[in-house]
Amino acid sequence: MTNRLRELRAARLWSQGDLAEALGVSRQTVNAIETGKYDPSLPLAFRIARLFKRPIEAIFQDDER
Amino acid sequence: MKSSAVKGLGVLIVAAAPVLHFLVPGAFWNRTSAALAAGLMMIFFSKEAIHDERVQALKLTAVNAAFSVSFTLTLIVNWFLNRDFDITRDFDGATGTWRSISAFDLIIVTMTIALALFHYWRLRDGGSADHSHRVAAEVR
Repeated sequence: MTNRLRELRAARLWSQGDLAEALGVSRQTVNAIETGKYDPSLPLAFRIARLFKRPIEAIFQDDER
Repeated sequence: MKSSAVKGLGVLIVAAAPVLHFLVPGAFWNRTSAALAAGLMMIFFSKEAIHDERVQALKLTAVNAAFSVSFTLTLIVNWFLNRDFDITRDFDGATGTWRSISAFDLIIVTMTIALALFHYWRLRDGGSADHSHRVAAEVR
């Protein structure tokens, strides 16, 4: 799974800490998602999508397709 | 009780138990190991400051790996204590023919490995400093 979280966050000039606070997770978790070490749960993916006002598939891409 | 208080109490127990063990003449190891096991479990199972899904996932993975390793270590240590895997030997401690490390010792090893793995993985998650502005410039 790849994602555009880093790119979307940076476009808004948010730090990882800002994004983490908005999502209610830790900065380490945001970094783990951005670097592809961790795929978020569906509820967290929906929160991310709502925050960036984009559909989930515009943020997360399945590499296996 | 707040999770930070539970964690603090766990740290206190883990720090005090070995000191008391060596200060009190004739202290029984099983009592010390019970305290150590309880303290380590309080540290590991208490909630983190931000207890999100990644923390839960890492803790579960850490305890899975730790239990496998500690159980294997127990088998190895028990082999050295008994020097064989003779299945005809009695497990009854009364006969004194078969020895094993205690459940408390197993928990101590498991929790120590789990805590080490969890904090190592969490440290790796942290990555380097947050370069949001540099990344923003790259995106533009």
